[in-house]
Amino acid sequence: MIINKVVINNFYCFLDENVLEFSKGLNIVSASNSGGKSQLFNAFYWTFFDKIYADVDNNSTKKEWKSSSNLIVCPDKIKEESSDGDFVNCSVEITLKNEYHENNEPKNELVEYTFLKQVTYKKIGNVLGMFSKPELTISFVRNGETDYISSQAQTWFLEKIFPVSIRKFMWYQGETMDELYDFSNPNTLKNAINEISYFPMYDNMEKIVKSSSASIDKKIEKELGLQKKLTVNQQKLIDDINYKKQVIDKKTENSKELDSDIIKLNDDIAEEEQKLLGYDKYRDIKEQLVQLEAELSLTKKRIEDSNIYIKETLINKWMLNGCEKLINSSEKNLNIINDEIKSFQQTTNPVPISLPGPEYVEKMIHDNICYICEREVLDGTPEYEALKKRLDDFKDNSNHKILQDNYTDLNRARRRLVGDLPDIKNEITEKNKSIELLIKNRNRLTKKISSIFVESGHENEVNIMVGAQTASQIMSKIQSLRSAKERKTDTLRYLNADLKEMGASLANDLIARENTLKNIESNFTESEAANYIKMFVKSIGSLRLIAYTKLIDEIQNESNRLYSLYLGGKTQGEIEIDNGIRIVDKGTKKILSDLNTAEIVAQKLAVANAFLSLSEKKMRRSYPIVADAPTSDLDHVNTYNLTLNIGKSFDQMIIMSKDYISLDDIEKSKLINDANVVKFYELNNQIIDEDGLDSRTNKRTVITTIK
Amino acid sequence: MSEKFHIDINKKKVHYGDYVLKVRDLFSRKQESLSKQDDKFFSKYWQVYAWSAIIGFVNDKREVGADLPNQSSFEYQMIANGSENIANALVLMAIGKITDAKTSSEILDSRKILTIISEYAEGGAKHVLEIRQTPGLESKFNYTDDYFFEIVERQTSKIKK
Repeated sequence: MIINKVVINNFYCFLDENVLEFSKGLNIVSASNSGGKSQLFNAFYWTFFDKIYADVDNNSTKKEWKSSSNLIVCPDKIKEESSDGDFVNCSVEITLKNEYHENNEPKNELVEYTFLKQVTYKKIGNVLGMFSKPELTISFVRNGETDYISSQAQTWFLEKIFPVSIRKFMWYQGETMDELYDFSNPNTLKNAINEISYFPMYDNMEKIVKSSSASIDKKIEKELGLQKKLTVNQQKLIDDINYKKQVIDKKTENSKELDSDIIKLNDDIAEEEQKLLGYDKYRDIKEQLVQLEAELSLTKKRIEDSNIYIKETLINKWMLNGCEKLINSSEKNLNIINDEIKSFQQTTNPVPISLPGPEYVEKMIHDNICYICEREVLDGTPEYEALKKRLDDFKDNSNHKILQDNYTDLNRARRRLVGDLPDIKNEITEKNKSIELLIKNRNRLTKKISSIFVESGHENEVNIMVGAQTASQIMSKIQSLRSAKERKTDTLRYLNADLKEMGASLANDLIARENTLKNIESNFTESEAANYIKMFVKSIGSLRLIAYTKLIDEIQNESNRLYSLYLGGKTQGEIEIDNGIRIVDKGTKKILSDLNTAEIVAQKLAVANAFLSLSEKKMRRSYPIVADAPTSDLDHVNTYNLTLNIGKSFDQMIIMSKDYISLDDIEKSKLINDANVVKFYELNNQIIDEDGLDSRTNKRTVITTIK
Repeated sequence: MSEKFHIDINKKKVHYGDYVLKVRDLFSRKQESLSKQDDKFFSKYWQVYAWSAIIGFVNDKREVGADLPNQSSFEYQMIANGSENIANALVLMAIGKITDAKTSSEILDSRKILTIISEYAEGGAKHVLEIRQTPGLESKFNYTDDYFFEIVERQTSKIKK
């Protein structure tokens, strides 16, 4: 594949139409920081994969791959200067040559494909909003006619020309290298191998012969059964074996599925954890804020409660402050009552308890009958008077009792009030003190909360809350991914234990079958064929192993060749590929740790590039490599070495870097010659209006063609 | 006497004069909850009545024989329910003001005691209104703090003009 041309129209720093042409070989786009190289990379990525490497949010300088569907890619100048109702079109058009996509095997039929990504915005008031969502059109010309890839087929098509498993090697973003080139995961290696070689064919062949072997075995058993040469026990043994084989196959399949699920979950967890890095600070801030705000609202509540308490107590009690004397002055009159009570007690005999009660006496007077002796009591008789006197005694007694109660009530109230009142002043002082403390605490908390906002650089609480919410969403996602992983790991463990047990039991059965069927006549066609198939299984197994070893050797050799090239021969160790990729000491073959960044960058680039260059060799399928800042971690000498040698390993390479900006004209032309650079562009971020503001709205990227 | 004194007095309506009425409208909202953020200090009529009476007692301001035309506002029970302390204190202070009593019935006359309290309430209310007519003190008792100052400063001196 060769990328021929990129036309960028109003995309971030690229104002109006900008054209970059590329050729087979090494293409260099040189730019200082903020020159526009990363946006050029984004232009590619946006067009093909609908993603942009951008700030996590407005308040963070951390970047991540973001889905571009809601991002505004329009240059700041247009964003600012367009008027209400204006429509703004932004687009990127990429032209590339590739094998015709309907050929399953490349047949050297090259077709030019055009990828056009377009988006339209509309200005409403001061805001530029999405008018129509970004849309990709893929067209190609074949036999003189223009044809389109339907939008449903686009994902398939993109996967076909940029297979996911090696996409990451083609699109190299220096800052995200670790994420993309995770060779610690054996699947990265396996998937890449499958994509760049015919190795999957061995897998398929092995599968085919194994299943033939299984089916011929079945036929033999069936034949034996038909010929009734088997005893009941032998037949049962064979049935058992077949059943166990089926179960084992099924369980093995499940186990494989679980394995790949777990790997996928691990990837997802790592991805989420990476996302969390930009957001965890919000979580901490929010935690602090929540704690302080809870404390603050509690303090405010206490102040409010205290104020209510104070007001209520003031009205219900404190209002009586200083009234002791006035209250005490009632003593004189209360004593009059008390004297009256005492004199009553001295002069009056208490009513005997055993005599009839007042209600009874009242009834006797009313009925004029003495209910004790059952005789009439007429008005005016001494008996009648005696009854009346008795009733008066009751009344006096009752009044006396009430008076006594009144005196007790009033005197008790007086004593209690006089006892309580002198404490009012202390109560007021104490309450005021505690309220002052609460107010101090409230002011301290308010100050602390506002200082948290200032320190975090977020005046707006919403930003923090949104950030924290995102963080907790990510956290809960990680949590659920982890628990899913745990569940699957557990299931896998049980499954594997089962498999082991069953495998052992099957092995025993197989030995038993071998022994028991030894003496049975089985000289028919199927058993002859079975012998041949067994031979195939064995030989294809070894062929597969040889092919794998050879392929790994090739990747390893190619990687080491490139690795050494990129570092100008000064490597600390060598790359070893064996169920993962690492650098080992050349002599002791022990793993080297704590390597410098340049070594690691060179190693990863070398392995990635080895995959791509082998793909070209083995599959006759070439991929371009588009790299943003691959050399940012390398020193000057290594950058030069890398540039000199990297182009040779590919059909096409486009490097965007700031590391060539310091070269003078002579050095530049030397590099162009030595490294055989086919295109050399320089991007510069320039002010549009010299008299205008020093603002991004007054800047654009200008392309200078050096070669 | 067939009923206890406090039962008897609690059943009776409190009668009060026009000064109390004025003060009531100045410092009390209608009967509502205390916790509401209001601009008036008192939230119940009995509170402002009791406060006026206490001001009257403390400053020895009594409007003897004052007209008490407002007779249907609330029973003394309201005060007892709101604060037993205040209800008892007012009764005891009124008892202390009865000078010529010889017998218990002259003392424990609930209407007579209510009248004495209301005369002091009237005197207290008049006193408060007079204070508010003093230049510089026009807004006295508009704010919670004023009630505090009045209460705290009481023991050393009477309300200063």
